[in-house]
Amino acid sequence: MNNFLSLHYFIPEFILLLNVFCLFFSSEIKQRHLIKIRQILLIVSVVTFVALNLIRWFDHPCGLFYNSFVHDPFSNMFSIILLCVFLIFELPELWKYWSSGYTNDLLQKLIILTASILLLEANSTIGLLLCIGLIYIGNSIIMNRFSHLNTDNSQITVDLTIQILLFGLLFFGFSIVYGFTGSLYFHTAQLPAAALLESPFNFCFLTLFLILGLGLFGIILPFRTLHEDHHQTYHVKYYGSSYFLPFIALFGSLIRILNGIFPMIRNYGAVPGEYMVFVIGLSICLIAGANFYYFKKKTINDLFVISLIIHYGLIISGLAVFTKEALTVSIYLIISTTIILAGIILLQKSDKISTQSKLIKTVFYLGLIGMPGTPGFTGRFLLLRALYNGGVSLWLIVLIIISILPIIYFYTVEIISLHRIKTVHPGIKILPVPAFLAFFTILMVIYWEPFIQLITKSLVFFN
Amino acid sequence: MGNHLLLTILGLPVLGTFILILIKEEKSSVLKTISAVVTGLQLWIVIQLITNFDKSAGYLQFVEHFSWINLLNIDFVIGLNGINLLFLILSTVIFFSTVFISWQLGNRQKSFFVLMMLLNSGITGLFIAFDLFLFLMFYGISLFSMFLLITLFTSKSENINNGYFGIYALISFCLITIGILVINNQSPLSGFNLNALARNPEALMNIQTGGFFIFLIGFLLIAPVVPFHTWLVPAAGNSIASVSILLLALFSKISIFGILHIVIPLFPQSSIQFALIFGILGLVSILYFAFCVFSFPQYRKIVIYFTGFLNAFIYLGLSALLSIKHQNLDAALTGLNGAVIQSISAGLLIVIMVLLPKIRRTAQDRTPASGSNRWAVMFMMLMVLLAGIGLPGFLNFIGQFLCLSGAFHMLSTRIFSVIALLGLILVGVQFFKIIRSSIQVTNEFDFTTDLSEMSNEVIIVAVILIALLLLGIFPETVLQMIDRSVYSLIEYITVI
Repeated sequence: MNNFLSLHYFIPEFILLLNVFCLFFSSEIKQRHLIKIRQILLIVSVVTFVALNLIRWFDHPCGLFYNSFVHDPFSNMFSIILLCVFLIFELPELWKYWSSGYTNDLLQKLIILTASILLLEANSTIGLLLCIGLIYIGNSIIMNRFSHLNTDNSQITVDLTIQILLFGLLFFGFSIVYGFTGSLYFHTAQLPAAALLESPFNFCFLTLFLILGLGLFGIILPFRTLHEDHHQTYHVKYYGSSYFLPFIALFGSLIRILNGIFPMIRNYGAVPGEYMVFVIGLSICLIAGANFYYFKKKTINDLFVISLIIHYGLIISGLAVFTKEALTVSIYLIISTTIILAGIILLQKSDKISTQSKLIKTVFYLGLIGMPGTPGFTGRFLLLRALYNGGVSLWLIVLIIISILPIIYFYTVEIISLHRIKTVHPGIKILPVPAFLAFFTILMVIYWEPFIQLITKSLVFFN
Repeated sequence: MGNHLLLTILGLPVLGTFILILIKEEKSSVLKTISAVVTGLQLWIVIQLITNFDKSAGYLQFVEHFSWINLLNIDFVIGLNGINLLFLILSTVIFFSTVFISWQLGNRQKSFFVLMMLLNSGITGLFIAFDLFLFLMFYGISLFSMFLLITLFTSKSENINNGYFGIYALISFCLITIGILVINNQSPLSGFNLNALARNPEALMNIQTGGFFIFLIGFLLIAPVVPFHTWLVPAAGNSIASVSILLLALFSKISIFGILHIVIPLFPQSSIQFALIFGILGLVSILYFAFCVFSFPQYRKIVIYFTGFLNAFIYLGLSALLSIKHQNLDAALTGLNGAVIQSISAGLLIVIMVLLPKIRRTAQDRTPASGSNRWAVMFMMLMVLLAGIGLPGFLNFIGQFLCLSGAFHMLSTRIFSVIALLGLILVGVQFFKIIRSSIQVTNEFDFTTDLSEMSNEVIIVAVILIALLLLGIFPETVLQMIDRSVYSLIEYITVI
């Protein structure tokens, strides 16, 4: 059935697309009143997007275009998260757009935002690959725009090649999914529990492709963008919404696919031990690898990169048990990590350290350390608890804990050196966005129960 | 406020931390005044708690119980029994003293007072928490703030050595986290309420041995006990006097509190079964630290090792748990009472020991023209050293005597008590040498330490000495406070 009647549920996405087209076709327009209309349209779109998503957050799930795209509380929650992340990173860009009507790369970033939201709603292999393609193309254009800032253009070629390779990996992964299930739709691709138990290694293999394909965006790209880059502007500009939006969306998409393939949320306890050990092992390897990388290169940028990877490692360990509890905490952790890293990245723009920025940075660093009283601690504690309650052996949990010890030490050293830097008092303006993010970080701890409950309540998928 | 004394005593340093963060670094007098007011108010509340504490009751008092995180059945439970109260008194006195000792602290005053207040929040919370999750939170805060204090207030070249403390603290925190996760997973009771878990001993019956060792090693890692003591000298040896006091006098007591508060009530069977481990740890530490005290000529190192020496008696006292096996409850009561008293007396004693070089300098600086004043300071210095040896009449003597006496009751630990006396002799000889050196002003001992940061030391030492002396002469005051709680604990273990 072509469920065309639910089209009105996708109004937010359509108006975002409308903005993209408006920006694209009117890029040459110089008339003041037309620019004003374009600006107002963007603001109205963002407000409508938030309002509609909030109103329809917990509405009954529905599908569109033969269920290729779906609208459910899960996608709704992630859409709001993505929009917030977009606003956090692009507020200066949007302000520039509002005041002068001119922007360099807002169009590409809007494409990435829209594609990321659609990616979360994609319920079929075709829809998903289309959205990923859109994201990669948007990213390639942004990379290309900044290529002139780089002395070494080969980096851009490497980045693009990696994106193509990831796309290939994903394609291969979905071929296996199709081979197993005979369906291109995720909600109908449920595997019989018996098959799952009979061939757990095949599932490990499949998960590997999916995690690598969807997750390598979060692993390799930060290295590529920072590894050989000596130009500060390039990575600060790039390492923003255009990176974090796909990162979060791909993770959300991974949950949707796995939920469709493995009927685990419905049948608690159906997770085979081999699969569990495999995913935890993968997560530990990721964390350990990142730590070793930092031992080799000890720059502050590398520390941010490895902390993202380490947190990604922790987050995917939640997929090992695939219980509601573990998924909820994984999502909580990805939100808190994004907020903290966003705050740090925005603070990095300023070379000078004022007393206030020192304080805000300390709050963020403590969050990444996992100090009690920060979302880092709450997230990790709840995650370990969820893993243990989900049946992961104590030894594996001990290994996870051991693997995250080095990053705690690295950040502690960073806090100490931060407090040894002489502060600059006059003339340093405190960025309002990092200050707000620091406040929000604290809020996430004080009210973490409502946060967790909201995420748990949103874990309703189209079926 | 009368009804929420515990909530207030916990809330004050938390509030103090936030206020101190907002004050500019240049306003040092405001920073110091706020710290003094906060710790002073805490001291006043502790006095209120002591006066209102029902000594004849073994149950929890001043309980504040709120439902905190319904999702995980985590409650905000704080309360006091006799044991907790003594530790709370110790922490309040030490924090109050530290503010005045650090009055002339040179640079980075803001960092110091903020971190000290954070540590105050952590340790105060830790001593009154009756929910495992709450305990873990305060434990983490205490470890982290102590680590930052040690690292920030030491010479930069020594930072690599402070890494030891960081690693030990990290592993300790991880082990306690794992332990709490195991308890939460294995217990049929959902939630982390310590009292509820302790009231249902069968809930943790299948993880008695595992849980016992996870928590025990977790706590021992931050204790100055052989073989986990390697962080002690690098951490305390290079930091300023105030940080040394916080570390040696207070922080080193967290482990023993953890054992009394969590390990023994939750794992009673294993605590009795493996009580000999406490005895062995105690004896080995007594001998090792006594030998170190005996062989080092640097006063600073002597104090550090002396901390380990005093702490070791606590573990020897805990070995008296073994006598519960043979229904000798009196011996266990003596040992545990000794352990608690020794924790408190050791804490107070270390504060005055750290301040001794300044007292010595003050005594030397006084000209003969000032007459009796000089001799008063000299007398005070002698009393500090005599209290250190464990002179009868001081609380330290009572603590050590009860610990040795508790261990002496059982045949298997009797030999430990006898051998431990050898350690006392070694320390005694060294302390007499220090006394001789101090009176004759010889160069036998190196008293080098940064004295510029210390202030108000004469008043603080005098007050603590008088307190130790009075409590030593009238130990009943302390014993009455803890006796019911310790007895209830032993009674509970015996029933199981």
